[in-house]
Amino acid sequence: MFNWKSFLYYRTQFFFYLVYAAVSPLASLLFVYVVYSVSAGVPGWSFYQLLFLSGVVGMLSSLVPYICNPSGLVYALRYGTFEVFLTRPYSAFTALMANYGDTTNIAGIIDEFLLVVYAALHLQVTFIGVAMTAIVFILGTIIVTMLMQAIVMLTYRAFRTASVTMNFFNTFMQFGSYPLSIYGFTATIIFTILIPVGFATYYPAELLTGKAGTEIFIFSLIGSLIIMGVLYSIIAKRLKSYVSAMG
Amino acid sequence: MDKDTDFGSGYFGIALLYFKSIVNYRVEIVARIVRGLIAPLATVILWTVIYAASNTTVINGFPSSDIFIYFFLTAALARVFPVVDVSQDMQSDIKSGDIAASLMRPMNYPLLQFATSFGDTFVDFIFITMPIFLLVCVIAGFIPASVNTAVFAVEIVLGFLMTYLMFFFVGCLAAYFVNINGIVNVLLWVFNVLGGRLIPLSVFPTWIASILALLPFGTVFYLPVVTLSGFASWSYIETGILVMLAWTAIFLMMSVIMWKISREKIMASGG
Repeated sequence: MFNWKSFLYYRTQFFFYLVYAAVSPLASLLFVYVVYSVSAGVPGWSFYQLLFLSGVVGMLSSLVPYICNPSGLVYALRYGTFEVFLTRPYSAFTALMANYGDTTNIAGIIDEFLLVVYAALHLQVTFIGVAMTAIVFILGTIIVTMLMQAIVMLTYRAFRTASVTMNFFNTFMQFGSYPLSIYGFTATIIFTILIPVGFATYYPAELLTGKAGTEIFIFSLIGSLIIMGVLYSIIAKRLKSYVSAMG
Repeated sequence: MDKDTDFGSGYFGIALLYFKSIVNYRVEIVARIVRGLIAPLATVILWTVIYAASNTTVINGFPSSDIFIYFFLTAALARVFPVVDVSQDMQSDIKSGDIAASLMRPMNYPLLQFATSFGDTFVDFIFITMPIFLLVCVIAGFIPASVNTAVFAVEIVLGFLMTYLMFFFVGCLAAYFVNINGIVNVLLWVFNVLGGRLIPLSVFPTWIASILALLPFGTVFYLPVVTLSGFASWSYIETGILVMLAWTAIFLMMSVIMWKISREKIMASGG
């Protein structure tokens, strides 16, 4: 709440974030529009299908830093403010989720969501398709958020910087921005299992557009839960081995 | 004086100090080089698929053979441009009140910021952009012509000056608005979308491409890359350089005026 009050207090900032919120989905719209106006587009993907995928990626790109800001976490670890949460009567994992988000990303979340809705309205979607898409997207977002935290935890001791995590995040989001099928089978496997961005972007888009059915939904559910378990164990292990700067 | 602590004098010393301090963040530099080498691959694959699906080797005059060079070189340039840190530093100085101490020093604050940004950008260019450039040239077997390389260097210098002055102007606004992150984000968005990073400017519909070529955003990434790759005609390059010079002059005037006004505002506030 404090972060929100602080954000709203700077009225000019708030105004420009509104402007930013208004124009940022135009990037996806412009990109897809230009691609489809000068070429045959991406094989197997219509204008609105690609627009939907772009909107989902944009939403994820704002949602993950909103929940977990690696720079904030590294700052807390470096300056010892993280220790405060270890003394509180809730788990350090909850503290990780609650304290290191970037409020300003709310604009990106809302406007990309509107873009997703706009694209979905132009696609023939079913209620079950929307439900499956929403479930897989939520699980995928949790996975990507946990992955970010796990990378910060794993790399902090060696590098003392959030830069590695941020560069990693931006790089795999770049790959997730387009249908994984264009990269071939091996890359699709990599972006599903090793760097599971596909669960938050590609598979939700495939489910909504009807390119994938129940079997992919079940695969996404099981795959997401397994990856979540692995990431949780990594984060929990790193939190246990965390030694406060105070000794 | 010890050679490790003697950074020269004045603004050159400040630039050198920043150069040395940034060089120490080796992991960050390596992470950014790796990203610069991997991330554009996604865009290159996408455009390759688009060209293949359209059964053509040229879209709006842009040949598919130039995709690899174009997107990798653009990504390499995006590691250093636009020079945005100046506005963040000024916002931080004004917010924290540190600007008062800076103004009391026997140094010119805008020149101090310039030296800082120059050191910062120079190290990024040498250690991030150049290695990516060289690797891409080796992988693609691409050797730019010497004339193109010389003109490219001029465009890089102009790109630095133009974007530095633009963001210095934005930094001055912090004296009024305190928090300028929203403005900076909007400008960065415009640079990314309309600067040719996602779509080469020539691929845009002609009327949009013509407008973008006259704006500062289109000259920072697109112009240097098409100059180096030899894709652009000399008349296009000449026009582009003139556009850069004009915008640099405009931003210089705006910055000088805005700095005078905002400095008075800072003084009135007790700076």
